[in-house]
Amino acid sequence: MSINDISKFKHLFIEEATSLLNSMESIILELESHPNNLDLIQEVFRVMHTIKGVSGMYAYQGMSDLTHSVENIYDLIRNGIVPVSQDILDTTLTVVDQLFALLKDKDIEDEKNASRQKELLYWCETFLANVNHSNEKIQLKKNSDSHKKVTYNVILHTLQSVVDRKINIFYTIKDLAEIGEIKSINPLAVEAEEEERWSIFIVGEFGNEDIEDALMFVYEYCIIRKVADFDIFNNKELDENQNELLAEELMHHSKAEQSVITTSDKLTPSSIKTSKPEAMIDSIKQNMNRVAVDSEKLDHLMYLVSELITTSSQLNLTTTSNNYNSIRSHLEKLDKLSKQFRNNALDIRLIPIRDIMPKFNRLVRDVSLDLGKEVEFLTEGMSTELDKTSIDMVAEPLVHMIRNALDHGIESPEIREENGKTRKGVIKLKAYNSGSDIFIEVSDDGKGLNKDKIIEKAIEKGLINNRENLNNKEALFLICQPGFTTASEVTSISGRGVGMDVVRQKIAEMRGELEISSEVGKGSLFTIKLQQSIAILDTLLIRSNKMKFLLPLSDVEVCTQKPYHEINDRLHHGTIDHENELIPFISIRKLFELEEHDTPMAKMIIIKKNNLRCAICADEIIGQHQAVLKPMGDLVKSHKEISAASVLGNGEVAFLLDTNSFKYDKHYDS
Amino acid sequence: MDKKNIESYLTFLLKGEMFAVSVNKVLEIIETGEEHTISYLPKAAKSISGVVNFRGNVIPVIDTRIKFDLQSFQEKEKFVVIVLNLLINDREQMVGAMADKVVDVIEIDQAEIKSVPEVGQGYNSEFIHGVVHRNNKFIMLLNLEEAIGTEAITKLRLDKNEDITMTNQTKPSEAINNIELS
Repeated sequence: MSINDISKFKHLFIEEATSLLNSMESIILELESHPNNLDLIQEVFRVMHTIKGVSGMYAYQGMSDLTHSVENIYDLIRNGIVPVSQDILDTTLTVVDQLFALLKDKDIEDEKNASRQKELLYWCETFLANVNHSNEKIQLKKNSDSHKKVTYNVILHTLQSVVDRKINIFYTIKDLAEIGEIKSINPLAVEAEEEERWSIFIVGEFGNEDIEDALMFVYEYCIIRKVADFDIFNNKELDENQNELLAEELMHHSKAEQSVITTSDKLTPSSIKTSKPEAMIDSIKQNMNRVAVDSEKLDHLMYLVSELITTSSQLNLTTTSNNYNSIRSHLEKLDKLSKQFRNNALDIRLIPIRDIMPKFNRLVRDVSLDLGKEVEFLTEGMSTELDKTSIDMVAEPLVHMIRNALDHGIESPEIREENGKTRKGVIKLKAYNSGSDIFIEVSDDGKGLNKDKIIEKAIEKGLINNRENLNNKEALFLICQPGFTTASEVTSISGRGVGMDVVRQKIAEMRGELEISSEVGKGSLFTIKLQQSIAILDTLLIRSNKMKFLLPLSDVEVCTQKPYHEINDRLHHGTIDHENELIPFISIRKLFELEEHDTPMAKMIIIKKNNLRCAICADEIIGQHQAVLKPMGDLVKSHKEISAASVLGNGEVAFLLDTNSFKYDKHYDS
Repeated sequence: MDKKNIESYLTFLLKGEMFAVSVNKVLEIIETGEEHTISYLPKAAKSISGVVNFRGNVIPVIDTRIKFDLQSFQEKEKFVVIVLNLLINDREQMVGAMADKVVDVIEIDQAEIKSVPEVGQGYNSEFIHGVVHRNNKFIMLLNLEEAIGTEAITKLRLDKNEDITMTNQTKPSEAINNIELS
């Protein structure tokens, strides 16, 4: 698929549709608890309507068919003809899933999607047919309205300048869809590649001014023509649908199917008046508060910022060595500004955790239904912000953790009652920041983790030999060992474990930490600690031989020094004493097979990670370095001790030591 | 293979021999020094001489002489780094390749490309996809993706009596142990 094939505006459609569908999930779940909220119903209708209009424009026929049907159902609901039911909501959620799938599978090539599409369309059809059958009178009345309709044809001409002016065609279509029914959107042939021409047929009860209003922002790119004083599509379609109907379903008489058309045509003046200003205000508000930016643009901005910081530190280095006192103050200012700039740019990338919330609501709902458990899902601090990349990465472990809590944490309602708990279990997702760290907690009030059983299981699995030297935390951490449990064994130890090694690994990849605490019978608490941004890190720059390494400053506890011969003596023990405590140590020289160097004293950097201490021996501690981290390519991935690299002020490359990779769990093995 | 018959190639020298690589794959030619110091990477394969900062990215630099089993670069010898965008393991990756000197950009007609001679002082056709004769000189068209994609040291030229083995200075097992390509 070449880039040129993709219409310039198509990615905007996909972006918008994705965000609309995301919002749909939370709206539906909200609707589930407040089924009579008219605003929510209106919102569902509007979203479906919008997606229908624009998906047609880009020839996503499946999406447009499906949204058309659902839109009709919600139209009936908002007009009070049918009430909101669990069935409808369940189907709507499935529809949302299907729409997500169709975004990627435009022509419904996937078999699963195709069969689901059929099912959903059939469901909607039957539903509408049933409703309409019992509402003949209303339908008839509406039918008689149709003769007042007019048909307009709009030729919309979009080209680069429209994009440059930041006009979103999407909203134009949306506005258009609100005054009448968009019957068809077809691309017309164009000469130049960078322009597009669309022919739009719109039917409804509106005047010239309404349509001009709707096209306000793109008026100069449009040709508007009135085609007829009636709905030119209506008569023809009626016939078509009747034929189809006769062939397919003889039970319901033609009126039933007619109504499908009439309801879709039924953006009557009264409903326009109520929905239009509301929608306008909503979309204006949204647009004022949030700017949707392509994440690639942000990545580029980050790249520029990182280059600026690197250059600025290069400049600093040159001036310090050359004694340019006259420009010193300017430089300091530049330094300060670029740091502010960096913080600002990082800030732009921050996204509230709330944005991934709908997925979790959905997960809890679906899984608890599946398992026959009653669960209340509480959230707190969802406005806590995280870097975009971190949000994307943390979603997966969170899903595992919440699923585990549902599956193995929360007991079934009967058992809960027996144990004197409420029938409904509680799972809580809580996020907060403390300093530059972000904490995300997943807790439940289920049965908790049984330490003894875990240890038993671990011995059985051959992960550990004896139980004596394990404290509580270490024991609980065993569930994160790869191979500790597989799905079938989990229930038998009444612990959890599905994917816990994946969880730990994912969190480690983000340089985060995982903590587990639990009380049998009362519940468990999983805490993820993350840095707000994983792209820029405050580090300690150290040197060993000629090589330079970085350590995350947040891990460094204290620095001391020791004569080298003492360290060499202890090499084969692997431990060294620090403040009367034997702690494991790592000699960088040995780790990377560097040659002996003539420094009498070794610098020891004591780091603390995952609550365990470890010493790192290097030749020299150079100082602090604000590292813009760069991934190491595939060719050098074999270094598990090095997780990233950073360019120093003088163009040299320093390597970030992965403090997570150092074996702390060594004493589990032995 | 290619629809167009004429393609541009960048030619460079490596220990007196002329090689060429398609310009489509070349991103930039950098001279090492101030801004582009090659930083030694510990425990890497012998053919990786280190990493370098390129447009803010940290990319590995291949010592092509070691890679192709020619005499390696001496400490004070001058060289340039050709930054290439290669498709390795189905992913586009930036890699630097050391060369003695960049010579020219020439246009080569696909019809001109002769297959690798198999008799006499043959070449390892796995990594050279053709030879072009220009001004009484042979220019070897390198298949870098293949060459860099494999971890071990690759020999371009086969002596009659020798198999594709490593010279005694680098044992194959060593090279393979040192780097694992994911």
